[in-house]
Amino acid sequence: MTQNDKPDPVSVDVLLARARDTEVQLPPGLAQRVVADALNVQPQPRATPRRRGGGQRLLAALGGWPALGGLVAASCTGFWIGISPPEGVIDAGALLVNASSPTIYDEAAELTAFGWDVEEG
Amino acid sequence: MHISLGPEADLPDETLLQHYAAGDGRAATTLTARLLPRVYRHARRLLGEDSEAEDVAQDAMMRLWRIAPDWRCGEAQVTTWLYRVTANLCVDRLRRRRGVTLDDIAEPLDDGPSVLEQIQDRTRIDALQDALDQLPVRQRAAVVLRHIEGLSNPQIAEAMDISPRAVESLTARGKRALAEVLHSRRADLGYENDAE
Repeated sequence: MTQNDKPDPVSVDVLLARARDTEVQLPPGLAQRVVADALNVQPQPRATPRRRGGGQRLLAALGGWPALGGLVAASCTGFWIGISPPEGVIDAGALLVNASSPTIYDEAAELTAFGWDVEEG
Repeated sequence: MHISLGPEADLPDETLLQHYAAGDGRAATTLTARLLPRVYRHARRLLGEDSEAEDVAQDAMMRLWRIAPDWRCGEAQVTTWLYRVTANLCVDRLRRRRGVTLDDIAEPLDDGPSVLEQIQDRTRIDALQDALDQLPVRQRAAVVLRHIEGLSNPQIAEAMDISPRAVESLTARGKRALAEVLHSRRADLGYENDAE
């Protein structure tokens, strides 16, 4: 191989540089199609969730309206048992004066049950 | 299509992609104006054929739109990612073309003006494309990314998922092969006349 037969690297560089500088002509309609594709598959903006007030957050924490209903019913039942305990059951007031038996309960009745048990006999 | 660039024109690609994912349609227009010519040119260089390059460019951009909501900022450049997707799509098409001879591949269209003085330049650019078409696809991709798209070796390595050393090897071998092909057409391309 003679010197003249060797590839001319300068020519390659020149051609590559010309290719680099060549402005690209996009095919007609390509850019419009690409933008249309983009808009077709674009994620929809997420709706911003409304900020909930303290009451709503508490309600949600309790489990919603059904849970709140159950809670209210249980509270009322407990209150009723507290002010009118079944016979033989020590109530909270009796415990405060160290009553631990039905006998003492009887003695403490005026203190603990607002006298209702006395009226009932 | 002339796309006018709005106030978002100065934003980085990654930021625009986030805006697009958040529902900003203008970001899609700006990204298209900025990235589509590069994607199309890269596909055209790798495939040597316009209509297929058009399909590949549209497909590559579609993949960008689809990945936008899950794009992880700071991990890769949008352009590098796009070059990789484009190259992979081109390789798929070239594999499907197996059995097709070089003569069956259409010449790149001459979209330049038909001025006599520019014919020789155009012929040389087309000859370069012919020579590129004869390179193995990885060499071709490396040469195009390095010497036409102007990417750095690390960027090419990322786009092609190879080491920077492999990039150097591919581009060097690619350029040598190009030089050999072009040298065989030296007389046709009028280099003897240029030297006089």
